[in-house]
Amino acid sequence: MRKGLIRDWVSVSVGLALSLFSTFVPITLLAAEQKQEERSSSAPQVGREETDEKENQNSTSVENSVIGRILKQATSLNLGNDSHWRRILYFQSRWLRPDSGLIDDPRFYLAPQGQSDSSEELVATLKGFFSSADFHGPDQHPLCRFPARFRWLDEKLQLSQEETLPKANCPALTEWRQGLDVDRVSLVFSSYYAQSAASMFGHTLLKFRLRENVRDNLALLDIGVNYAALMDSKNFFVYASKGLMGGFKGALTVLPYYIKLQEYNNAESRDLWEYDILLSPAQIAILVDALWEFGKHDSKYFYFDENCSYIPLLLLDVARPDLQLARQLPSWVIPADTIRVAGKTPGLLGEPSFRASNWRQFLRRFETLSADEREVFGKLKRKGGAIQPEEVLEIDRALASQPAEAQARLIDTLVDYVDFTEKLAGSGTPEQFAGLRRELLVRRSKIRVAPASVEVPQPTSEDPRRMHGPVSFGLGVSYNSRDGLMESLYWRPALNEIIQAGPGNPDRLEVRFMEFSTLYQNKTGLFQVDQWSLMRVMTLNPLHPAASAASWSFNLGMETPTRCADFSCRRWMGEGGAGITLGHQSLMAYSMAMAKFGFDTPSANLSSGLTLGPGVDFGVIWEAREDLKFRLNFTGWGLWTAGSFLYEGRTGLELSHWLGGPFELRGRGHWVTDRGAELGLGLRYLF
Amino acid sequence: MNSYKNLGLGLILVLSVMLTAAPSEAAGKYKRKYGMAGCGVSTYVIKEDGKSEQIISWFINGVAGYFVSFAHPTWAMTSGTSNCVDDSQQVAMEQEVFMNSNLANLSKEAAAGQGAHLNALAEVLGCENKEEFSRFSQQNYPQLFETSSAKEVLSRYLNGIKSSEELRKSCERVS
Repeated sequence: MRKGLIRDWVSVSVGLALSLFSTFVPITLLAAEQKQEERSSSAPQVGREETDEKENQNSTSVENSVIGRILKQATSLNLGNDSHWRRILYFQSRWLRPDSGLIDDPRFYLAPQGQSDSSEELVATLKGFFSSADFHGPDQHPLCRFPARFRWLDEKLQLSQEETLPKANCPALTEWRQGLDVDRVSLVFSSYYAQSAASMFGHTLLKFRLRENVRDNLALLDIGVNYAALMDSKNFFVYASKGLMGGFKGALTVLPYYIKLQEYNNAESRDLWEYDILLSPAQIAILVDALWEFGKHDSKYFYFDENCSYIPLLLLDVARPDLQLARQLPSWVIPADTIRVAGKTPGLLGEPSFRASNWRQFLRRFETLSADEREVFGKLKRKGGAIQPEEVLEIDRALASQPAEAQARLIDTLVDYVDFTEKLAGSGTPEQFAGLRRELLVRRSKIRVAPASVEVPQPTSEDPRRMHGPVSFGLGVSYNSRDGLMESLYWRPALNEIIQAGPGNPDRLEVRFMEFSTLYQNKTGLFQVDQWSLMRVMTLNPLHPAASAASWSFNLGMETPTRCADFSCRRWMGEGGAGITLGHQSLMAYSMAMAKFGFDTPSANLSSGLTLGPGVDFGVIWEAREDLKFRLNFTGWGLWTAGSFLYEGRTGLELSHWLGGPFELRGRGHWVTDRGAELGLGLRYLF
Repeated sequence: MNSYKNLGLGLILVLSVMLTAAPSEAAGKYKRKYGMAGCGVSTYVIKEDGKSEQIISWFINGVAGYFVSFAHPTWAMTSGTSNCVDDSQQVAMEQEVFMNSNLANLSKEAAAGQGAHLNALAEVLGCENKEEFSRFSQQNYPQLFETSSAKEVLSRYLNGIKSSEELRKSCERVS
């Protein structure tokens, strides 16, 4: 798909929204970072490039006859425009712009116009390969720098049979290949992390299993290959604007897999799904070379498309020419979606292995405790802070009442509890439970009982391969006694709603990004944007007897106040709240205390001004079947608007029925303040 | 949230090194290639201050960027070895990075006497006999993990292994 479309669309719509909004609230966010941006886009290495260029030309005059023949052959085969050659150069089709290379580092291109002209780059590459110039020492020859290009061109033009092909000295490349003795490659999905906007959509990376780790199953020592933005700011607005518009540089990192496990499983409590990728040894070798070639160069990082999840797919497309992964993605790339797309290619992905978050591991351990042991657990888990001598006695007494196996179980569960609660990772020390953890572990070391095996079963219903497409497009009709019959259009580029039925969805997280709905009112012929959300998030964490987390939600965007009969008024607002959830996956009830702050725009017959007030949000969600979900919901707001008090409430039932494939049916019946009874029916298309 | 919010202070030693060739003669007959972890393309940021050694925190909390930004120049480096330390230092660095990155898990598994992190540590220390290593870890847990400094735990491990009859023979990357 064409890159850049979503970027432009988002930039334009955010820009429009902000400019509308900023007529009321002046905002000056973006300018401050301009300087940094300029700095990051400067390319310091150009000087050396130019000298290389000259040497290329000198040397080519010597080898003229051979290179001339090869270039002629390449031209007659039209290799410069070959789709695989363009893949190796990471050429992207762009929206409203000619195709060009994704990598922005000028050193990735041997030709001056290499980023936009793949034929010119082919000529420069071939000339470079046959250049006998010195290139200032080892590892500098194009043969060392572009092994993946060489592989492909060698296959097409039998370059290695040419006697004039230089014997390049590439010790670093040789070391790279030796160090990456890879036996298997996996695509890894790290599940959604609601605590950070950047991670809310999940993350993907590649895992390289090293042959030497197979025998003892030492997956921790495998290699993670990660593409990430190089963030130079923690300010949310800077982050968002630069992320959307390519202000950050992206870079590949190759690092021990244990570091990724610490980060995701432990520090962020995220599950990891690892899918083996079907690649032949030869294809793995190409991948290793492609990584070498790509990795040394940076490119602009775009939050929506040229992001952490897209780059691994591009690399896979290079390694396996029969794949079309990148092309199957929509204009924006969502991590879970890359798994879905790869999963649709027959035989590409194996069955996943699942690495549970420290939260799931703890829950599983807790299940192994008897009622009696849970009581001891409850007593001991409260021992935070510095441990007093009498508390040490208490711990000893509590443990001594249990047999050795139970003691081991208890301590293992308690330590897992501490580690999860404290998000303990790396060599971090607990803040609250340092004393308890130390006391427990010293006692544990005296008990020679192996820890109970806590294989966490795979939550197959959440397997991201089975997930619906993140983009939702909907058509609907609704009726209420005040407004009559209305038709609606719905559009949401990502990601999902809690009410949404169907497999593979995160059950407890809702992320609605850039959601629009518009209404056409038959009675008046008015067509209006009814609701818009920049970001709307809800996360439900059911209470657990041992470890509970709050449930919360927020919404930033625009809505239509219920009293607004002719759609002429708008409310720009932010709302949010927190509360508790009871139940489990298939039946959950939540209750949240809410607050809203907004601005009602002027309209013909209603007063305008600041709006604020408290609210409540109650709901019961029932997953009757995998393809059928219901929600009973009450939302009520007491709002103070421009000197008067308003009540806005909505009570009713909605349902989602997954029809199979990309189709979803929605129905709802609500009682809404000012509007009365309202019925709605809609069809959603997910892709 | 709390365990990594206060990190970031006082950084320090940035070990940036390229992938090196492989198995050193100095490491004896042990065949394992330790290219990536210690002398990898990636860069490690290690707190020198033993009080709250943390490495992982740098990957979280939006600070991840520093990792990449430090790592990045290494990609552009011209030689595979120019910035690389010698083999014995490389082994030491790798062991330190591993300990720094996994200490919390290691303490838990050492006390329980088994686990994937413990096996990986045995491997990083070159110990062929994983079972014996786990037994050693559990038996000596109170001394080994008395401190919360990863560096200190590592040095106690190294000393402990040297003075253990069984492990001295099994662990080839301890000198």
